[in-house]
Amino acid sequence: MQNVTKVFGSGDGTVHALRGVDLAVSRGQVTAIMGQSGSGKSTLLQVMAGLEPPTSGHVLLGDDELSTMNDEDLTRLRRTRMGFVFQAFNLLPALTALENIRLPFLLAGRSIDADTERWIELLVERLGLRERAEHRPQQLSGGQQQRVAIARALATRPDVLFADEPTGSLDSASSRDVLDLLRSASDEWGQTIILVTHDPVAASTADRIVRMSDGRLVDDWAGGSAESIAERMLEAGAR
Amino acid sequence: MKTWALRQLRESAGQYAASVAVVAVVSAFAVLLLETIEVFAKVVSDAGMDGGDVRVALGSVAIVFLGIAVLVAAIVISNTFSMVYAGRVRDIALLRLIGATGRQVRRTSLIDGAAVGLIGASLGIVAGVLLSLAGIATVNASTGAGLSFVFAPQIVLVPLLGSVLATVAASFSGARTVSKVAPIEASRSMPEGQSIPERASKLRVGFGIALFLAGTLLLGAGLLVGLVTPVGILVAFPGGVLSIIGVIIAAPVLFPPVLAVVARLLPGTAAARLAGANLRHDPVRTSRTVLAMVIGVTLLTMFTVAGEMFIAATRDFFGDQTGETEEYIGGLLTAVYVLTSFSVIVAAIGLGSTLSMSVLQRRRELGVLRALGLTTRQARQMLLAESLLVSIVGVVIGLALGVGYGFVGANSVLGVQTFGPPVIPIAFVVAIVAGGLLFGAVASLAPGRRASKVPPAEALREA
Repeated sequence: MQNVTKVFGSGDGTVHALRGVDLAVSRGQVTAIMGQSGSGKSTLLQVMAGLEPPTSGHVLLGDDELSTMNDEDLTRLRRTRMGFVFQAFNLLPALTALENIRLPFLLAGRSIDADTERWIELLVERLGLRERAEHRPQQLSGGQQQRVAIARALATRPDVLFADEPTGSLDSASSRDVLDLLRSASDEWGQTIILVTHDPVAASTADRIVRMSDGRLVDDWAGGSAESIAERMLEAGAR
Repeated sequence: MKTWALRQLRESAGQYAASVAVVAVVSAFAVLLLETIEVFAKVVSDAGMDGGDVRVALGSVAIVFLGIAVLVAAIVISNTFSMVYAGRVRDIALLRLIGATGRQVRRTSLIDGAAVGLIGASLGIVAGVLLSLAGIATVNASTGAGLSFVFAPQIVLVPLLGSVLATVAASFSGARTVSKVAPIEASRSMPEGQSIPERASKLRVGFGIALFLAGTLLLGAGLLVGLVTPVGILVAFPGGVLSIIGVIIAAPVLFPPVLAVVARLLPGTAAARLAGANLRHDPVRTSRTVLAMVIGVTLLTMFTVAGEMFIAATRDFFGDQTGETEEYIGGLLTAVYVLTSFSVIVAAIGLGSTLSMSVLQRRRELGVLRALGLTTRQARQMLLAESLLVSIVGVVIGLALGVGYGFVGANSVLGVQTFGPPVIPIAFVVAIVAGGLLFGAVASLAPGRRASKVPPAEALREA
């Protein structure tokens, strides 16, 4: 991202959500974006993921410029090269767990080749969802739903996976579980992950942490334990 | 509570627009029918004959067709109310948490019901009177009959009281489910979106199926009695009424299998597959939407099949000297089509509004789909597929029921002379299928546009 700004509204109600953000995310790493609510971290995620156009500046995925793409191209880009994990899980209630995992391929109108089929099989196995594949989301616990969502996000082997407060609706055991899965996706398969969170425990899985405040990046370090992250955040808050 | 109810009413005004329109259409229809009776009765009594007989004869026709329109409207309106209330579940749970009783919650629904009924009826009565005046003027201009508008209190009172009563009842029954919402629901996060699919009660469905079977037995009996004497219709008619009530009650289990078969006929695209899954997900709502279509198509088919069978039978009986009979039956059919068209309009409004409201309630879901890669075009196609599925299923079931009723009805009267197979004019089937598809496509336009405008960032909003 180069010098990205995002302004909502105009006149008196103008909100400068992003005030010139420069950020380069490295391939294969887990990058956590932290900050208090209203700091602009959610807007940053939306702009990076092509869900909202920036007001100015450039957003690039590899060599592709997102900021100039039309809605159709962005949509195709999202379904082939990006994965999403949300706080609210956001599985489709009308589809089974397995159908949810295969959804990106259905949307793309692509048949699933044997290689991808094996990949999905592996994901289902590794995420402990085999017994639950035919269940509807309503029949699954929060932790299980989030694991399905992670499988859905990984199924297309995206260039980048965006996780927005993925543990925000989970108990601590399920949270641990989900974070371990994201971590191992990065370690084993080199998955690039951008994790938006305000939880130091979640951020402790990251290789790098950037902190936002008032629409700007104000801190950037290699992370560490949950305690050290919490301390650094507290110090920043006290200043 | 009252302040809350009034504010909710204002916020839901857009969603109630379709219900108001439905009430208005039925009220206008009622005014037209009642005024027609008055004008005819006056003409007859002016001619020195007894107007009472005309009143009774036309009155019974009016009751039947008005009753059908009211039934279709009631289905559409109760669908609307239950969807509006489903969207308010969290607010209601919060009120319950603070201390509102289930009774208080139900009572607030009366405000919605009364408002929809009063506004719809007023608009409908004005429209009905204007249409009557226009109709009388047209008849006078073309025939010089010199008819004049007859004012009778019932042309205002019947639609007004009927509408308010029906809408209040519909809103009350819609609110019954949500007033059972436990206060605890307020604190529960509902990550799957606001709408909860409705479950059909097993007891009710069992009762519906029992009624349907009993009705079918009576229809069969009517058919057999008809072989001996034309009064078979007196056995078959209550059978028809029973069985259609059974279909209405048991629709949530009777319709989904048909839906599953029809869904397989659609191409395996994302839009079509998602549409099928969405409709199967909420069988109660889906079957209510289909039901409105079914009733219209059943009526049209039944009268067409029976009418054609009468024509065929008279041809058998009298040879080719039947021009007059055919003309007479043709005229009756036209009248039936016109009278039924009001119910069909109501069903069309119902389909469009159900789809529109489902888009409102699925905003998050649509946002998720958009984020995961559903294009705006696919979003529109998905709504089109949902709409087409509903109308095709409605046409298929309506045709099947209508042919059955028409066949039994005609034979229970004619069987004693000539027992004939059902006559199904191909042109009619083509027209009704084409009409159904067109109807579905048009009904999906506005909701499809709405669905394609949901921003993908909607998926990121907190639950």
